[in-house]
Amino acid sequence: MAQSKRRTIKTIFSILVLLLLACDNQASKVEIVEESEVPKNAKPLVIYSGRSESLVAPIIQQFSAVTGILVKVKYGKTGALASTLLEEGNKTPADIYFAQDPGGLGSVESMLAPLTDDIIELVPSWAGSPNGKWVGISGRARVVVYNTDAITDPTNQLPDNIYDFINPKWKGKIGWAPTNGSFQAMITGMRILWGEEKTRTWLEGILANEAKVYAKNTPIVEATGSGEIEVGFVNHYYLHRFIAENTESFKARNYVLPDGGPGSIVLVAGAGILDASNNKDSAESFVKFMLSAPSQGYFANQTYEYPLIEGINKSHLLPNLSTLNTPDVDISDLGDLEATQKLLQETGVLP
Amino acid sequence: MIKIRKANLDYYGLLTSSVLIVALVSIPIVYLIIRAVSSEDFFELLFRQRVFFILLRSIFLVISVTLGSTLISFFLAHFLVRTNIPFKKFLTVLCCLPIVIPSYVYGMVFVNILGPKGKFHDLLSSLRITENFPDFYGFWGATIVLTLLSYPYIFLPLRSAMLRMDSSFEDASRSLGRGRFKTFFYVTFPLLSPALRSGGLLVALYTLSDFGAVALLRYETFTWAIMTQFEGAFNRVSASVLSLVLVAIAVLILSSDSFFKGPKSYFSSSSSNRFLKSRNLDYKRWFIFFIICIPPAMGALFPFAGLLYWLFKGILLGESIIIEFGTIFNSLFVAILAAAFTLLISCPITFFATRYKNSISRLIEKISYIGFGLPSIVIAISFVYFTINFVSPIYQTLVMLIIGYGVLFLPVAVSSMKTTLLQLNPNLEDASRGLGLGYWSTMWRVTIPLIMPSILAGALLVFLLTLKELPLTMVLAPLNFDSLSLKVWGFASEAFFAKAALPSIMIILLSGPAAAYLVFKRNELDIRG
Repeated sequence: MAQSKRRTIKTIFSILVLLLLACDNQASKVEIVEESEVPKNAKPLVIYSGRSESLVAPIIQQFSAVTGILVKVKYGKTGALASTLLEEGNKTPADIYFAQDPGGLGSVESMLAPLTDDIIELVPSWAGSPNGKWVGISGRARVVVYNTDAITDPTNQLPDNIYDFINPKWKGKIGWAPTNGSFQAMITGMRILWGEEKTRTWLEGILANEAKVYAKNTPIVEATGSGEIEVGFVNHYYLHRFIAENTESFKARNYVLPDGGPGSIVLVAGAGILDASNNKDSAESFVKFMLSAPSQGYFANQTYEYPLIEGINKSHLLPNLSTLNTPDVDISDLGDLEATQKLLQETGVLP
Repeated sequence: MIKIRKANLDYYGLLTSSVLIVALVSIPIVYLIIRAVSSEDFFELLFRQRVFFILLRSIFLVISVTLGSTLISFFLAHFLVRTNIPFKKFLTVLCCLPIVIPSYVYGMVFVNILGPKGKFHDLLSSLRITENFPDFYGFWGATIVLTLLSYPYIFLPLRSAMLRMDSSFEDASRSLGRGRFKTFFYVTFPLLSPALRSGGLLVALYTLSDFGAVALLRYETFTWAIMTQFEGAFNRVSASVLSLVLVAIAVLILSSDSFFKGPKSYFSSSSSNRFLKSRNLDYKRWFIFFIICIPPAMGALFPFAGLLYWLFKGILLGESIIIEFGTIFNSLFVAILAAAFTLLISCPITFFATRYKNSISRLIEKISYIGFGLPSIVIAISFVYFTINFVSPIYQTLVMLIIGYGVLFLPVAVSSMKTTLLQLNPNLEDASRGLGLGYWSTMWRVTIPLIMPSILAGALLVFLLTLKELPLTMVLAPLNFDSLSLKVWGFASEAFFAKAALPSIMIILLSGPAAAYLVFKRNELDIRG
């Protein structure tokens, strides 16, 4: 009896060992080789990345390979890392904060060092902080994702302006993610473009339409594809990943609102250099590298985001930035969350 | 005279070490107070109708999940311990497995397959069975998922308590004329109450602090509101104010525990325990067998199958899905260290709380539980604050990460050990000391070997929990650190489900042997009085 037990355990362990052996350990070998090539006295560049490893690790590795600068990264949620930075204060080991959205960068702006002009000039002025503390690295547009079974003729079935989704005919058909940073940036855009009152009416209207609350963009796109909801307010690039993983049969597509307005503002993921950093040269070369043609090409074709410098060929899946009819809003104003939070709480959208 | 002083020394030794550990565990609470006090709109933020409603939603969920888990555990433990169910050990291992499934993974699979328009609905409608598949979102979905994931917290201690229960109590009750049900309510149930209470506390606190499942199942709880402050508003001060409310609820849950007081002692004084005979179920055994399979099948096999489906779909679509050996090693290494450390700090607290029943020991034990009711991001950020300001050399080292896990999972180890320690007759220790062994050597040579199975069980539970823990790992881990749970999140958050499936499967496979060990080892080393 005891022996058979031992045999079972042995079998389980040997299966595990086999599985471990089957796993690829090629990549870790490569890393070791790279490390030894780097001069020993070079200080490693420390990046706190609110953008996930699956999206930015390849381009960060490329930066390391090209410049020979050793990079250490901490991946986490943008908000968790912002809180971490704020607690660390000037003792922070981080040199770079690479954030998912302007809100995250805005919340630690007092800890960031002003960027040099040659970096600021690389991106259009709308895509960075007005006091030069951070720059956008890639653009993402707000769009309406719709289910292709329910909406067969988007131009006629869908409204031209996001405002019209308060029409009762959309009751129970909308999905949104009020806790999401990009969503809140869109609401800030509404407050700037429409004013408090109209924004309040819109929020109340969408609430009255019993919009379904999701935790973030990904499940909205998934729910739209499955037909659980007909439309959702999201960032544009999630859809392309679903299509990549589920083939073209995935039953959702993006719709760019023809009227523009807050429903189609363009947001950025961006980066700033920590004031407490004593490795600013490497940090600057990192930001410059992210704004160079190879990196911008990577974002345009691999993560389906908008490049922020001129002359980059983007994925054919992306509509042109110029056709987006982007309203004239300063990105950094979109990071002004306090009044937006208050409005969202007053209307009962957020707890 | 000398003897009294010696006893005092033992007492103060335990007291001092427990107080030190509690100081470590109180760091998150102290941090919350420091941050909340700096809030300008403390009262405006707290006293809103909406806060009150969300609080109620959390409390309802805690109650329903705790009740559900208790019922399921009772049912499973009863049949698996006291009857002749076929494949008993296999089933027992199976029943422990849901604990290894991360709630964010389960939520993902659950929505994808059992969502209102998920794969299961597609199947039903293509077979023309039904078009109106019920909507599992909200309260019921969250209750189902969290119950299925957390019942092992009760099942494990309940089962071992049943195994170790001295049947002479029940026999006496029956022979004095009480019927089977009365015996159950007046004798069996009170004897099992320490196991039920300690497991129930963990389930309640776990439910309170869960974010992964409630977010994906769209049930807004208090923890959700706190996460909104961190991730949407980037406001850790408001998050701290709201977190203090969770601390208050945790305190409420912990003090309500005192209402369910059982008998004064749980051990038998007879020299040899009589163990329970198993009841013959005859033809009904196969029927019960299938019912017992339902919770583990829903809680573990179903998400595992969902992950395999994603993985193979991804492989068929030609995605490159790899996992580095170093990632797996990191996860294992850290989980083993966390288990060892948690074990170390749980011993003094448990001994103190069970052997010296006074208000200080009760207070110390309760404080050690509070952290389990908080979202782990709060614990992580509070440790960032304390280490960088006061012990900066360990900042972003493995030491800090391990301490963080220890603080978070301490109650799991404490509760596992405490249940057994309560059932151990202290006369055994007295005998050892009467024969000349000192207090500490008695503990080392008599008590610890006797309760070894449950010490190991506690350590293994911490091991499993560490493997899947996410927010704390994210914030406290050293730079460039990679683990399986971080990989799962890194892919899943960007909708790369096929790529997220492989590390999720690895977490489950690594946990499997540990869960099996929990069951097998216990049987071999049962305590004889």
